Amino acid sequence: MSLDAIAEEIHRHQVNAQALEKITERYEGLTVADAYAIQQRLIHRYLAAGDALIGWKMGLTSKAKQQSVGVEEAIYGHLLKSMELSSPELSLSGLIHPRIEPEIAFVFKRRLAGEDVTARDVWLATECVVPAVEVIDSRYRNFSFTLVDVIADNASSAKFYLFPQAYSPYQFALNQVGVVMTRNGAVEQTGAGAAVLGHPVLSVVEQVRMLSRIGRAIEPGMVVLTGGITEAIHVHDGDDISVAFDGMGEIHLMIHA
Amino acid sequence: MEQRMAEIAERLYRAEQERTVIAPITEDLPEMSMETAYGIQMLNVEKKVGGGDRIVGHKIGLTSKPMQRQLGVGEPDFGHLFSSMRYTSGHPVDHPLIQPKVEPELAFLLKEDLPGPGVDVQDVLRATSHVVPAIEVIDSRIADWKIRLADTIADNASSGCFVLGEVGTDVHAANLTTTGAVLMVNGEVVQTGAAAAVMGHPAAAVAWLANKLSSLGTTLKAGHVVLSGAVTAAVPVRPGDHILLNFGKLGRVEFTLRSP
Repeated sequence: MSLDAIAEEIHRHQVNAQALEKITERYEGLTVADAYAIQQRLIHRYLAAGDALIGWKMGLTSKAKQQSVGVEEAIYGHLLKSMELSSPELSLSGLIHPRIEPEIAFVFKRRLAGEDVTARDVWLATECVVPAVEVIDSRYRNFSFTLVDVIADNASSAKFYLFPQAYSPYQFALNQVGVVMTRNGAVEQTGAGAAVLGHPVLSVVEQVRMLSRIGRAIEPGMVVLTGGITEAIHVHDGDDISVAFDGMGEIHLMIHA
Repeated sequence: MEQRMAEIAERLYRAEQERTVIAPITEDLPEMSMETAYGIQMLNVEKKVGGGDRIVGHKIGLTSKPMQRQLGVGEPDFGHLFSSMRYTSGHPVDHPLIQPKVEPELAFLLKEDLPGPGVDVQDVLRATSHVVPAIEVIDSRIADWKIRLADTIADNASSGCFVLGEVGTDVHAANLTTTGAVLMVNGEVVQTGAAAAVMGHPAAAVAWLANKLSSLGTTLKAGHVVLSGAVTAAVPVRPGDHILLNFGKLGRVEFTLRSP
């Protein structure tokens, strides 16, 4: 078994938008550390082709999601420049079975590193917070995976969109911000920021801690997607998705083939 | 049928008094209509009023699409709220309960009667004195919550008791649909949501109730409270649990559940 070969396989399925059988069903004994090593090699393939690392994303940040995968820790993935949508339109081409979820994004002005990072350090390093939607798309058949599978697949990252208006990190109590996601006018999901590890800032703390274990950091200018505030919903051609963040604005995302 | 209804009402009443459960009513009567089920509910409402309890308002149930789908119904249901069911935030709740669950809700306190038909969201907002955050403690006299539509309607829409926040907010002072609700049990976040989960707007649920009652020949009254429907899924709780709802700008509700 070669981690490089697995990374190559996942990369191929990501680029070609083809569903894949779980790697844990085909390769025995893969650890969480192996999974992050595969993720690292996968990202190197994109970077070698000219893409750029612009931030990080947190996943499995709600108790419900952690329970569904049988873990008690969140996971992270890499955000690449090619993943950012420049306008609130999502083309389904190149995606397998995308779902979208509302998130709060942090944008940083200072470097954040170290196992002993605190919420206070995160506030001091934060330039602004921004309403966001993340498009996740597991490369595994039926969106079904174990912890190791999903980490190797870059935590199901696909696309993301940041609302043009950014806010001071002190303007809103982010754990209390309510979110309403509708599809074609009908409410699909509601939630509040506290769904993300109790408070989105704690998700950034966890992100920095996990990065520090591999000698990495949040660098100035980077974005962190802190985790889904509601369950993710499947999207289809023609869907008009609206995500209202109480007091912060509303993202309208049009879905087309 | 009337005798059968009285019999079922009596079993539900006794189960509530004795804190026991009964088998689903729909096991014996799978075809029971909504009208019959509301008729059974009314028998126990009259019995409680006769016993000196006082109606202080209504609760609306099945306001979310997932709940309606689960029970195979296209509209909400409602139950009656009594003075004996009412608790205030900050005080222990020692109501006699069987298998309680908690739900965050927005309560509407009416300053005017709301006679239907034809009541809409704007009418509800005009007739509302203020809204307060509420935790509804739902409960079922049916074993293991194995309820179908007629079971819950006959059982006063699975009411237990309710806890109101102390501070009211004007309906125009906050966005009632997007304000975040965070429900915590023993310090841990267990559910989050926003009141848009209630039929798109919680006042739409109150309007539904006003119109439904008019079709039954009654009216929502000034001074009454209406629990508009669950903002999140219900969470099972036990005696000793501390339950906190932080509804942001709309205020908070907290209490500790105690054995009666």
